[in-house]
Amino acid sequence: METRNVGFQADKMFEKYINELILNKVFSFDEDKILMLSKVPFVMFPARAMAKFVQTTAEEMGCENLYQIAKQAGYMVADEFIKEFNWATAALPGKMAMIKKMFEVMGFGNINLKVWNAKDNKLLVNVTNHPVIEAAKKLYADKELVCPFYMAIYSAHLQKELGIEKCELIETQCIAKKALFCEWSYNIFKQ
Amino acid sequence: MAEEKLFAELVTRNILSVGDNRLKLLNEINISMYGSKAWAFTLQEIGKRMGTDYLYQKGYLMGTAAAEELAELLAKEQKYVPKMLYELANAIMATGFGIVMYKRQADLATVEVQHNQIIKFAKELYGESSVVCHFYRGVYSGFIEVFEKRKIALKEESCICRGDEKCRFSG
Repeated sequence: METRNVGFQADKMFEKYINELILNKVFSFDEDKILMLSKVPFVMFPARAMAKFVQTTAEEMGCENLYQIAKQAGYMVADEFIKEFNWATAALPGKMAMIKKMFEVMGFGNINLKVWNAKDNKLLVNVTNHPVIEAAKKLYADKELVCPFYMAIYSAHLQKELGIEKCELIETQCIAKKALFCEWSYNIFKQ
Repeated sequence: MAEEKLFAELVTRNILSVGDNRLKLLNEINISMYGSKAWAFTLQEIGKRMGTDYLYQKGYLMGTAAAEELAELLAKEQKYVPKMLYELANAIMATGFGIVMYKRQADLATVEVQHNQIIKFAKELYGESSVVCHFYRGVYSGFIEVFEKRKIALKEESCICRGDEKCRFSG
């Protein structure tokens, strides 16, 4: 029993160490900017406020219109990543664990690439622990329109950085509709 | 008044930290990030299609939502919260809406923007055609309403996108 407690404490200490490392090494702070790896500027928002912004905008201006804006915004950030970090398809596999952790902390969810096949242009991704989607689920339940907004951003990144041509993700499962995770796919159809 | 280095100090003071693989404010409020240039673009496109009044309303909604979430937490956790967060300008900064100077003289409230990367990017990208400031006018109006419990709709007095030294809103 004691050993388990010590182990638990050690795990917590290690987690705290990793978290501090992420904050201090991955992000730097300059005036009101958060710079990712000292280069790409990001802005932060409370996730619940962001969920309200996305939901109401999608309701009022149309989901498809907001999707197109989010996709263009995703391309802009992907171009910044490629320019600043040389994140092209070939360079990514070795860095994927670090990128996954970084994006999760940044509020883009825990991304689990189930299928990544650039040759056949196929992709299947699961997303959990996404603070904005979770806030939207609490606020709007199965009426939430936040997932398409983030699907657009993901589609842009997957196209530019993972080499999935003309990527347009479609939703196959959603936590707001009682699934365990959001599942988005491109060119994969279940039997 | 928010000091310029306070944003970095949020981390050293543990106001902004990582827990459960999420960035959190005061260990409670989940934070989400967005590329800064991409956010300037997103706001500009929404404002262009839906109008500046609409963009103001979106800012007001987001400002009110952020301020209410923070105010709820401050009310609940008074003993453990750094006093700085009860000041309006610091609350705005800590929730990611830029560094501002807030003045209140009798009924006149004035918000002067000291640093706002999104407005700077909007100026670079769109110059005088930028409508992004209307969003922040709404955000700051929402914060004042929640923190001071009074109805307000700030008006723009000067704007860096139109060549002024600073953005200034009053109401």
